[in-house]
Amino acid sequence: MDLQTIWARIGSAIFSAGLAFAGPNAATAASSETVVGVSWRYFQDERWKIDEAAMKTVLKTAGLTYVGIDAQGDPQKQIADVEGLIARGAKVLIILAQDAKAILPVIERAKAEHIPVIAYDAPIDIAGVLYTSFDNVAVGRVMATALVKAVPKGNWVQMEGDPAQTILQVFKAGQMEVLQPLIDKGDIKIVARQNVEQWKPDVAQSLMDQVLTANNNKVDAVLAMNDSISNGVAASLAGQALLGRVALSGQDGDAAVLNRIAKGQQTMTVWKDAQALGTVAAKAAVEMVRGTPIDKVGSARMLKTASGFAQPSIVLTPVAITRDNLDLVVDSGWISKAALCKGVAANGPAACR
Amino acid sequence: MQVLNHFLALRWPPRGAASPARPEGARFDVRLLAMLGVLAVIWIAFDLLTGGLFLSSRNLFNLSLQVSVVGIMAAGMILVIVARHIDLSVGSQVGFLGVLGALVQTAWLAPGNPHAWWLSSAVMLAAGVGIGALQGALVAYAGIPSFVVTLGGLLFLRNAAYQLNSGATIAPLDGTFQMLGGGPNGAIGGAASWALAGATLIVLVSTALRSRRRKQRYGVAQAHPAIEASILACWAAAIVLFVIAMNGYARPSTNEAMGIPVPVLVLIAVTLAISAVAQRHRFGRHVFAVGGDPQSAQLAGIDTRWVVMRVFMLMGLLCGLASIVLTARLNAAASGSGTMMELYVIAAAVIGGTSLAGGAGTILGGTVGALVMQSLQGGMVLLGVPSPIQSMVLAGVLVVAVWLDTLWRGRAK
Repeated sequence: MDLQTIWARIGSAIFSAGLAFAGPNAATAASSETVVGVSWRYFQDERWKIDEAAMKTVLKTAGLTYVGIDAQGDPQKQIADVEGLIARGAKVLIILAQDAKAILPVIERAKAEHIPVIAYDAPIDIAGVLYTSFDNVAVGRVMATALVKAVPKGNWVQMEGDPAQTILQVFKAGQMEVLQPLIDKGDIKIVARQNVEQWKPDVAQSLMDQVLTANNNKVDAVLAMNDSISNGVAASLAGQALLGRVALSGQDGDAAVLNRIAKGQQTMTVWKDAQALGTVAAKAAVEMVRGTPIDKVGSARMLKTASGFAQPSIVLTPVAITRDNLDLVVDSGWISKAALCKGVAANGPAACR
Repeated sequence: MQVLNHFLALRWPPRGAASPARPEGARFDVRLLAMLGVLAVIWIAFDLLTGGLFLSSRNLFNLSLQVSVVGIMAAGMILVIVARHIDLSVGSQVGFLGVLGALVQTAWLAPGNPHAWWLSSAVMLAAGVGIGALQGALVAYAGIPSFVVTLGGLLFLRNAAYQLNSGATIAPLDGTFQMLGGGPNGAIGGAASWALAGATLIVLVSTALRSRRRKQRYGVAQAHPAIEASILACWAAAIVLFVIAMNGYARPSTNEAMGIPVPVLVLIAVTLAISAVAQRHRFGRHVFAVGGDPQSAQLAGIDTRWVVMRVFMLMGLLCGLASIVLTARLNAAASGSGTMMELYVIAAAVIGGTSLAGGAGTILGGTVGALVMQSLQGGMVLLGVPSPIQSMVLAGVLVVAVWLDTLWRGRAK
């Protein structure tokens, strides 16, 4: 039973019954324009604004019109959204699917009308769609590799995300690729493994308090699966005067986490450059509008979906941000130098000098 | 301090009319005693399973901190439920108020402002009361069911929390503010803890003696002195053991005793104050009257709508307090903080014996209910039980607790 899902359903039912909500920047397209339709699954995360801005820049340069709409986390609304985009005459659809399978009926419709589809960031489980995303196995691999570099031997703790989400297993597969040999060798001992309900920092903090108590503070590294979890773990470590003395990972590149890395309080975070992904997808859309078939777009190569369909895919590798390459996030405009270096002492990292 | 009498007598609600034959003070709340017994069994079992780790000072310190947020909110939720309403928005309120308070510190005040901690706290409390007033007015005066109003609040405030800062987590927070969360500097120290315990003991004993003298003067029947003395001794022992436990935990990498953490003091103060309001204050009596039989309460001249509105305002105030503790302890304000917490708060109230039908419930019961849940969860983490199993166990405990309660109430009738 997942009460969160029930609440979300009740909520979306109320919303869709009461309001016909137009998504972000839902512009009315004049008939002369060439429209690229983008369906977001849930626009309320900080990062999608960055993806959207990158897409708009590329499309504008190519003389195309961006039309975006937000499904607000509701797979049914997303189907209606995409139908609306087709009705508006979109030439290419970029879809961040809420559900890899529930979206399929409307994808079939788009294919019947010869509208190419780009699965953005999340998979769509069907052949004949271009998949653009980050390599999520690599997310786990990059995370574990950076932490192993900091703590090659010792007691490790795995703080994983919400057990109800399947993406967790993908991240974990990447982590274990790196860790399993070291665990077998006896270099690394996993002293605790916990799932953090809803990836919540307050839950992570309480769990970490208990893990530290159970292990009498003998913990050398904490593999936190994302930045929200690492925020809670950091607070718990600070409570034991261990912050900065225990290696700590993260994922997302949140401002508070990057600031901790600059202060030497956290080892790394996995950063997925949303701007790069938005640019890649929009460029692919431009090529498609000009008539390039989907398997010839950009640097696409064939990969298999979860159900075994062959899909042309453009997969970007995420980057481990550590103290040594913080300049990457500043140079790309992800975070301001002032925010990154707030409270950093004199001997801070190169990016703060 | 009259509320202490009720703590001594361990009973609520007063059932004077139901059993006139038994003397005042000798009627124990058997239900609460049974729950304390269950809690003792859980603690001893976990202590044996973890090789003495569970009842170590450090774990008890963790436990008392972890229970404070849910415990503070449970006190308010019990009154809401007693008044035959529900507040589903409390988790979202905590998230929203946390982001609001953090913005006061980081965006609206200059960094390092010495007044930041109390200004941001005051804004959080005031906003909490404001949210409660709005929701309460919609329930009491507009006549919208509280389930719907607060379901709206749950969705609205969670998203407003996101909107306030575009979903970005705000950290770190003001240093003084962090002390309110019970971090390394957030406990009052060994000496102060003992002083506080001593003062409480003096108040306890003198209140008990005064009450005995007063009853003697008016010729009211009393409990046997030995019974009252042993109850008193139990409370004194509990207080002393609690302080020993809190002082037994040293500040990391020092030998200084931590003492009682600030959030736990807040929880104790809230539990005492709301108990006093519930039992002694007219407002509290009205809440029980409205919950017991709304029509009779109205016919008796109680302004039932104003009572309901104030219950929601009190709930908002307590959400503000809980949010201060949670945000300060985490040293970060995330828009997702407190997600699903409404369910834990309602569960604590229900495990603690609050009837979802309204009209019955004890504040202390809610605190014990929260303690039961947190003990189970914390103990299972110490044992390395996987998280899905933890949630399954907690779900089972919730249902069994209510089932036993139903049996108990059926028998009592």
